[in-house]
Formats: sequence, C-alpha cells, structure tokens
Amino acid sequence: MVLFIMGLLGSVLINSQHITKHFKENVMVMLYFNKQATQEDITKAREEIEGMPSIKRSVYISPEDAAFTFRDELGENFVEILGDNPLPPSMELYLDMRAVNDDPRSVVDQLAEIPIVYEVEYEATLMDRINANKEIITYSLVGTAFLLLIICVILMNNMIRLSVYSKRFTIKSMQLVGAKEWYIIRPFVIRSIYIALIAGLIAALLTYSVSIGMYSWLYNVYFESAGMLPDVGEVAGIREYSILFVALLILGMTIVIPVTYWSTRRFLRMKIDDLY
Amino acid sequence: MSDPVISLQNGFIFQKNDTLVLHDVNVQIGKGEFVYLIGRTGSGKSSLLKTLYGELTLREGLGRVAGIALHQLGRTGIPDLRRKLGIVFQDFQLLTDRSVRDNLMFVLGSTEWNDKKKMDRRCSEVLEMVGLPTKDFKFPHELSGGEQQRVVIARALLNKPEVILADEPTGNLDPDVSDDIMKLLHDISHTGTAVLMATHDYRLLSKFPGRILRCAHQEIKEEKDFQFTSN
Repeated sequence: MVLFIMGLLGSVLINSQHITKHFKENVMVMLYFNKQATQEDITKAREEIEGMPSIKRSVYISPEDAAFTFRDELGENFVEILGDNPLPPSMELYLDMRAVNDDPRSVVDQLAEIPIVYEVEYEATLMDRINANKEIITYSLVGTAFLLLIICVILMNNMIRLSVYSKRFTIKSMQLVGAKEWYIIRPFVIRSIYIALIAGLIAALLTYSVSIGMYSWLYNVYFESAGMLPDVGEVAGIREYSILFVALLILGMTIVIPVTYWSTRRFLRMKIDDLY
Repeated sequence: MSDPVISLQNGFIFQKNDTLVLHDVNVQIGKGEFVYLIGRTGSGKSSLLKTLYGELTLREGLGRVAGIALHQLGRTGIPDLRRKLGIVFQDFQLLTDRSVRDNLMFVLGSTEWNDKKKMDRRCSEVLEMVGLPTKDFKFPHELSGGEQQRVVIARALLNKPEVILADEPTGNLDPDVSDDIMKLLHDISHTGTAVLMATHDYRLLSKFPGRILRCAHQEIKEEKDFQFTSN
C-alpha cells in the first residue's frame, strides 16, 4: 500500500516533468528578419539558426505567408490597401528544453546578434513562470515523498515487528535447541524479501494502471480540446516507469531487510520470561 | 567420580530481576547419573536449570557443563553449550508450525548437520528410541501431551548430549504417561547420558530411584533418606 502511494507519487513526478517539458518545448520565440535582408542572407541565417543546438524545431514564415495568415485573421486584404506588404520575413522557433532550462535569454541574445535579425520576441514571463512552478512542484513532491518514506518505514516496521512478535516463542524454542542467531533470523529475512517482492510488484502494477487511467481521464475530459497536454503515449514512458518500479522494489527491500533483522534479533536477545 | 558433566562451585544463582535464589551451590553430577531436583515453587530449581543452559548468567562462582565454563559464557557461546545439552520442558517448546520430523530436522540443520540422508536416519533413530517411529509426519497439536513430550525427548537426544536437563517434564501429564516418560528418561541415563530433572511429583522419586538434591532456604542439599509422603 505504502509502496503504491510512493509509486503514484513517482509517477506524478515523471508526468509533471513530461508536462513541463511539453510546455517548454512549446515555448515559441518569434524572430523577425530585417525587411531589407536579401533572400540569400535569410537562407544563410536560417541554416545557422536551425543548426543551433538550442533550437528544437523552427518554422520559416515568409512575408507572403505572414500576410496570408494576417489577411485571414483580419478578413481584409491589407496588402492591397497599403499597396505594400509591411510584414518582415520571420521564424517561429521552438526551444530545446535544456536551453530553456539553462537560460533562455542567452539564446535570445545569441539570436539577436545575427546581423540581419531585426527583433527577437519571446514571452519571458511565461518561461520564468514555468521554471518557477517546476521548482515548486518538484520540491513539494520530493517533500511529500520524503514524508511518505518516513511513514512507510514506520508502518513496515510495525507490521514486521508484529509478525515477528507472533513468532516469538518459536524463535525462543529455536534458540533453546542451540540454533545460532543468523540461522534463526535468515528464514525471517528471506520471507520478508519474498513479501517485499510481491508487494513491490503489486504496487508497480497498480501505480502503472492508476496513473495511466488518471492521465487519460484528465486528458480526455479537460485538456484534449485545449491541446495543453502531451499525448498519453508521450507521457507514460515505459523506460521511466521501469526505473520507477525497480526503485520501488529496491526501496521495499532496503526497508524490509534491516527491519526484519533488528526485530528478530530483538526477540533473540530477550529472556524467556520477558516474552510473556 | 570421573569427570563430572555438571559441576558448580560456590555458585550464586540469581533470577533475572537480580533476586538471589541460591547461594554457595556446590554440585557435581557424573556421567549417566539420574538426579532429581526438588523443592517448593520459587525455591530456585528452574533458575538453577536456566543457569545451566545459559538462559541466566552465572555471576558468581565457577560452573562447568559438558566441558563448557559457565562463568565465562558469552552470548555467542550459548548455542555451543545448548548443542551439548538436551533440554526438556514442561511446556514442550516444540515448533508448532511444522511436523515432528521438521522439528527434529530444524535442530539438526541448526547444529550444522549437512548430509540429508544422515539427518533423516538420525531422526528415525531418535523417534524409534522414544517409541514414536510412525508419528514423524504429525504436527505437534495432533499429538497427545505424552507424545509431545516424547518428541521433545527425541529432540533432546539428537546430538547425543552428555546431559539432559528436564524442567518438570511430567508436569502436564497424567500419572500413567508420566511413568512412561520417566522410564524413558531412566533408560537414557543408563546409556551414559546424565539426567538432571526438576520435579514436584514426589511419587516418581520412590518409583524411579535416583540422587536427590533439594532446594530450600536458598541452599541446595543432598537428600539421603527421602521419604515419600502424600502431602
């Protein structure tokens, strides 16, 4: 149960990272070229920009394309009215997550230094908000996970102690016939490992199905139309979940083994009369 | 007396709460002796036995059981001491979660027997000795009190102990069954294993004669002319 909650939390963490990544990758920087720039210069600049490691993908919008879109939005053919197309050639740039994380401004500055670039626009506040929120979310999740971990240890400790307690006379009998400590403790530890494995597996399956279920529900009910969330397939990375599950198993073991050892040993060190 | 299997010199026996129950205990028990330990409840019989099997510490005096010095016994030495002893309890102390054979196998396994065939053979031998050759697959709760006590004795015999310590082994049994168990313990003592048995059942003392040690007034004294009175 506790492992399951830990698993869910881990799953939220994974998903939230995916979602922030999704948001960040969809942070768009608009880049406008000088109107006077020649097509040749623009092509060269585009190659340079597209080759930058911090740019995930880019869309080039020629003045004609821009005018076309603009006309659709306005419903009027302003090029004809004005007699000239005032729109400069531009690019929509989607930043790579790592670049965004490091410092989006440096990328923007770098872009602005290109001679034929007239202006670079980006929503600084949105990016900062994403960064700030991500930290808050991550810290609060890690904090909750830590609290849960403590609860988890206490609960498991109690359960194991109870089960060992119910066997205290057996333990004592074993001791009275001359069994050494480790010989008595070993089967208890092995049993605990076995139970931890099964519990970890159940927790993993539950975590996976519940988180996928929850996510699809959220996705379908609230966000599908808005296009705000990445696809289910994109979020539920098998690899990340596998790591999470292995971590759950290891976590289970690392709690269970020492707790069983100490609980059993506690009864071994007791005198017979103290057992009653 | 040849080398005693149990010897205590000026031993002080304390209960676990530091109450002194016996002082200046001087006892020697030789190979194959059958010795009764009698006295009122609380006179120190059980504490003496517990000291002999390492459950209580011998804090003062010198003691030696089956060649192991009690006064120098550390926690890690206790299993070694118990492997040289057979212990029989009033409340049996069998492992209730497994069959008779598995109870015996556990002892063999825990005392470093490795050969499965030899282990099996030894289990059959001791069950034969206590007259339960066909009950090895039963669980303790499926056996009568007398049968359970026989299993306990079989368990005590597994490692061919030099001495058997029995704490009121007939305390929970009816007189006929008690007699059977006593006969069994007596027969065992004739094979060279010393038996030290605490009991309240004075009827047995006249029926199965043996040396008698009485705990009274914080002392242990040899009882030479024991008279059985039905009190």
